[in-house]
Amino acid sequence: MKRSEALIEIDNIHKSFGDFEVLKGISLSVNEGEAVCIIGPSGSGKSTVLRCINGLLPIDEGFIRVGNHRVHELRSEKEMRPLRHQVSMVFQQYNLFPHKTALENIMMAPIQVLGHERAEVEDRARKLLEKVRLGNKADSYPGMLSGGQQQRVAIARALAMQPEVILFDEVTAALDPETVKEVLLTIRELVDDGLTCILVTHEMKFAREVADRVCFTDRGLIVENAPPADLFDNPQDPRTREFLGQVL
Amino acid sequence: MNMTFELSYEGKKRLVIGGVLAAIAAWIAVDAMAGGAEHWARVFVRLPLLLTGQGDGWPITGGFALNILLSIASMAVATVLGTLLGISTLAQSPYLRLPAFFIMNFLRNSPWLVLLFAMLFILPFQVEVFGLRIPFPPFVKAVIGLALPTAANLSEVVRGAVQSIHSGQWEAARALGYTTPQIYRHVILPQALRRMIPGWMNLYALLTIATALATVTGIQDVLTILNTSLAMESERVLVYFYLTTLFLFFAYCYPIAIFARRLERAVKGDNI
Amino acid sequence: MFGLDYSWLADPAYQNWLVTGVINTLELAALSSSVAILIGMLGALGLSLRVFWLDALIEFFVEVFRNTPPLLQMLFAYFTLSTLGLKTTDPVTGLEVPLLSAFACACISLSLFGGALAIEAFRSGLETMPKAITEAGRSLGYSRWARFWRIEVPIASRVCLPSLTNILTNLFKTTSQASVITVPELMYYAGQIYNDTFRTLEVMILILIIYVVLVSILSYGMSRLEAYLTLPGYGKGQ
Repeated sequence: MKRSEALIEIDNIHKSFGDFEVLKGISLSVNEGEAVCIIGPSGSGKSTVLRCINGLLPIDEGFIRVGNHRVHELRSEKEMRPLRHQVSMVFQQYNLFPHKTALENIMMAPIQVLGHERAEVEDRARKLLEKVRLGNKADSYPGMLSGGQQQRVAIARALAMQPEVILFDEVTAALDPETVKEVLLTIRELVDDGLTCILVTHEMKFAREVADRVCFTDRGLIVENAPPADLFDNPQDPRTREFLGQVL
Repeated sequence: MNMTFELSYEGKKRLVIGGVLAAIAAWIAVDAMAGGAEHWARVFVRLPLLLTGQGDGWPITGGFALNILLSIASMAVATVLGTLLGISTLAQSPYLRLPAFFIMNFLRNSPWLVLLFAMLFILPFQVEVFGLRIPFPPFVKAVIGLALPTAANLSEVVRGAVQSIHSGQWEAARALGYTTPQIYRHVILPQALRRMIPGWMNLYALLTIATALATVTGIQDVLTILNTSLAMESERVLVYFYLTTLFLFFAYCYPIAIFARRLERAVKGDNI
Repeated sequence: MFGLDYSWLADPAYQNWLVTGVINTLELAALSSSVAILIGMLGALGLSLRVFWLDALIEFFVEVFRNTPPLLQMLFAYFTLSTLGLKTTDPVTGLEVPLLSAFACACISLSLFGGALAIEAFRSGLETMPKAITEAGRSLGYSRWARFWRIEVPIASRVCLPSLTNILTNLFKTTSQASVITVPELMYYAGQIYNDTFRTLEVMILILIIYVVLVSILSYGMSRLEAYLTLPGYGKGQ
């Protein structure tokens, strides 16, 4: 794989919180249309990687490129904004805006941030709600929706920005087991449509089915990076084996 | 069915408070019969003066009406200043944050009366902007003098409300590419607003009570009238005037305080 | 500096006034704060007994003092209590003088005002007391009184310390209003000095700064006390 073709390129990034070094030199590249899953024990820095990619956390050292944006060189919130238009994020806690309806949550940013036409955005938002199977919940407030429904609205909100890549940060971790399925189904459909995405997840079965590639992280490093069949059936590193032995 | 009057605890309490009020009324009645009626008659005659600053009640030039006007004007100024100050104390940039903190703490730690007095002398009688003379009459000075400490207290309310918004809201908005002012406008302030309202109302009641201090600026507020126009009344009658004035403040502020407390409980109840 | 003239500060007479003013302010604040705290504790204890008539009387007291201007309370105490009969005859001059001095009036009315605020603070402190703690105290055989002083007050006072800080600084600031009834505290002497020197602006700026410094010291001290008394894992935003 040639490096220059990759949509996202991460090279040897380091990040510390105080004395604690969370990322100790992570490198990863993601091609267009690729779905990459990051798995690993908690505290291994999975979510931190995602937050570094869209600049929510500044890195201490290393190189990050997303499309034309050299993320590590962006210094201010202002410089980050064009990047954020290309990279959307879905959070573990959904983080919907509680004072707006589902439809408004999806429409807000495209209108207020991207300056798109309201009518066009509304049309797009309604289609997206249909896509996540919540067409009938357009006027519901987040507080009236179940966790799984809120998360699907959050996914629609991310899609409404028409990003080139979406980062999924443990999006099913806070959900009831029965609603996990509907969210995973939605994500799988998006991946099948060719969405580029990076998913941090605890759902091994899902990672195996949906991902083009799986990365196993442990203590701030990517220990193993392989297609799911190889990583799950034939792990090379003893740490990967140990982890999979515990969770599978 | 056996009808017994089982009163709840709150009901019994209300009954006692009613009793206290009845006792006060009875005392007033007894006092009135013992000669107090004459004094009350004086109060009644002068009541328009106390309320509006005019003997016949119109036009409004002072009195308790001026106190209320002053409280509304000051609150308007304080709301704008306090919101700006509160948000400034949360700014990323230390050049904005640290001065904002200093101003907030300075104003919060200065006595209202002293600040009001200081404003009286610090503010000029008038300012000239491009040949246009803007006078600073005592009323304007009183508005500013009362608005400053209120703004400092309000900035704390704003700060608390903004901080109480879950950090995920900031993260989500930032990830969607919002600018900081946009995040405040579209995401944070609309949510923080309802949490601010009880504190805002409490402050308004506090400010109204503090308008009594404005008498030092020489405006014709209810206390100035009490101490000047009514000073020639007999000492005995003055007691009744004082009681009336105390009651005016209480009657205006108590309902606001009660309403604020109800809202506070309602806001605490919802966990959005 | 800034065209301000502070040369009058060199005059020992004015220095003396300022120092006396500060001392009297501190005295007034210390006295009324102590009484206010005592009233607050007793009031909160009274409320915790859940006796309906006591509850009603305390609530009445709190609401009246919270919702009227302290300045008016002080003026009322000063001008009208003597009119209503609290008078005595000066044995030397034979003249009728008010029984209570201006200082005493200010002290009483500030104590009651602060006390009303303190009752609220202590009450909310007691309200956050976990039921399990009261029950534990009861099952260990503590009397109501002992439970209040030995268990509830030590815990509740830590919880309500932040609001108590607010009340005490508020009360300290309110002492300046005693100048209106001629109590010779700092604000009163400020008036004396600028009446003498006509340096109103300079005097008021200085007085403002002195007050801010004093109040800041008080609130800093209280925050240190808070930090010192913090119980690991108790209170703090729960």
